[in-house]
Amino acid sequence: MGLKLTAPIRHPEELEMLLAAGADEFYCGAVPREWLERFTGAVWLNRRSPIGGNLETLGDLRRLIDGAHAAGRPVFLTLNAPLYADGTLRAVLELARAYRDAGADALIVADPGAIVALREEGIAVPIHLSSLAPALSAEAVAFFADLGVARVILPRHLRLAEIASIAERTRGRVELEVFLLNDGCAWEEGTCMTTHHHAVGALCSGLAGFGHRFEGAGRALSEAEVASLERNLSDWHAFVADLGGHPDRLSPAGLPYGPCGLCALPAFARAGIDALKIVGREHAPIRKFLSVKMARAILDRVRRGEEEAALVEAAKSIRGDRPSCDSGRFCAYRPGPAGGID
Amino acid sequence: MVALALYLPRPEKVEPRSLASFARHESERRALERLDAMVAEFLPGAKAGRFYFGNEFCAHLLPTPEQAVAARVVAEEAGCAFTFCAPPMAEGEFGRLAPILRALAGGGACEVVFQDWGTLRLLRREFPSLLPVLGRLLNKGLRDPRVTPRYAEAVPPGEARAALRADAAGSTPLLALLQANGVGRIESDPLPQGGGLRGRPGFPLSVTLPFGVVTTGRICLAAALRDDRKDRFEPVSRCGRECQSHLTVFEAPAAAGFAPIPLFEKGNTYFFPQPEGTLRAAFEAAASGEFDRLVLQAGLPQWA
Repeated sequence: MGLKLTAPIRHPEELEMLLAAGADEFYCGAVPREWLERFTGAVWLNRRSPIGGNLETLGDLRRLIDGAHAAGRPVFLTLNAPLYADGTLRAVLELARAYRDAGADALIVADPGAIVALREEGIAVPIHLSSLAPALSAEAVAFFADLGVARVILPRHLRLAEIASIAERTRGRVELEVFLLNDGCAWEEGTCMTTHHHAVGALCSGLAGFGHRFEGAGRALSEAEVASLERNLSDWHAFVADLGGHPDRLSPAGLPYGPCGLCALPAFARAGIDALKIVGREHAPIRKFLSVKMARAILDRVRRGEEEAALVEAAKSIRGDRPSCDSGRFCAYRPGPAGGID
Repeated sequence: MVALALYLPRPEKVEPRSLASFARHESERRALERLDAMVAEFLPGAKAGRFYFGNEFCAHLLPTPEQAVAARVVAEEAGCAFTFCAPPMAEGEFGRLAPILRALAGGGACEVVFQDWGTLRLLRREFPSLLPVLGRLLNKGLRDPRVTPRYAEAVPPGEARAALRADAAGSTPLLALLQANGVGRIESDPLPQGGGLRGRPGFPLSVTLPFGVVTTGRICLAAALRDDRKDRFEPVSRCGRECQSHLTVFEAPAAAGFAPIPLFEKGNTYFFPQPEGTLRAAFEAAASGEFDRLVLQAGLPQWA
């Protein structure tokens, strides 16, 4: 069955709620205290903060996995820091064994060296390639399929036509997962070398608080040019704010905002996409619940084979804020001015 | 002695001149002047034995096959070896790369710096005569000049500090994977918190100065200048080289306690000028044989 809803989770107590909302799969991180004592909070084991975005004990992880398995749902564990040099890799391999022993159904990994090491160490858990790798093309997906990964999570900034092309060219080799809801990135996550540590926050949103100036190329910029650059930068800051989804607000229909690919679900179904990621391990439980429930409402209609125009209309109307949707400000998969691909 | 390479902005004959003379923006010029001074101090009279050409960050700034070949001819006429730089190649743009590689594969020895794993696979499968080099976007490491320079003081020596100073090339399994795929060299940025300056056994290291890369992606701030749509921030499918007209310089607020290092936005990519202390550390590491090639950028990325 394709188009499985992959939901974020960070505590066993969220499980019942997310199952009720319609999650098909779960992904999470688990950062035990020993990691923090050894490496401090500045060295992130995975792509979310050790505190607030992860389970904090292996006991909780076992409870979560047991509960999910009892409901017939798999749980995937993130080990998706951009890199693990030898010093951290040894600790990561120990944790991977602990996750395996707890019953993890897959490991989400970004670092090709870690993929090699997991295989060499005989840690026989399927590997899902994190979007942080990032696999931007069918050729890149094939590279990781050659390494034995079972699923590739495609990066956020691929256009629909590109996703369809990758799916067509790699069919049968690996499963593909795409982003569906919440939390965008201003840049490509897999080629961003910044930290999101709470002491500084994300650079993209923090730039609004920086001073700035524009310098011309070999000449002074005109007042009109500077004004145009200022407007453009101001719009970009607004775009970045929308990527965060304004977690303090709900739509008129009581649903969360944020980057959204709901109206692309028919296209994902045509492409044969296997799984749909809902982002936000660190989000408030209610936001996770509402996100999964909203996605499930549209996805069930896709599965029932409803006509595409009606599905798209339903997706665009579900938040009760058609103007925001029509503006494209939260749209994760715009066709783009040129459409298509080379 | 460390070898020098010159990262050319255009396929043109280069007479001996300062790096700063290539600059088009004032802040860029100041960074290049610092580098010129450092080269004069540590490597007086040294000449580049290799030219780099291409673009590491943006598929829309890829040269044509003819421009790539012309750049190699310029290198050969100057008695220099040649390295071509490719950016991360997404599915929509991937088809633009093979014609360039095909043109280069028809000539003499040529390195190709790759920034994504699909490009490496293409190189291995279709262009085995070209020598793959791991690019600095894949030799990952923390490069966040807001905060990472502070790590040297804030994080005590030990495993944590070592982890923060690590780059991807510090992974033995990754090196084995690179070796199995015929990768012959690794590119590096010096890390603001220390690190990124040491080659690994079997893998000579190139260190690029003076602009470190912070982040990049397919959504280009400059390309959004071309229209007023609210939803214009999207993976770029059309490009009018808007990034070439200006540079945006961001300066961190002092009150936030950030390190006083500016950020340069050039199109889809953000850079930082390596501070003088890091430049000096790089030249000292070169002098002591920690790595074998210095890549001197003649400015921020330009359209050929």
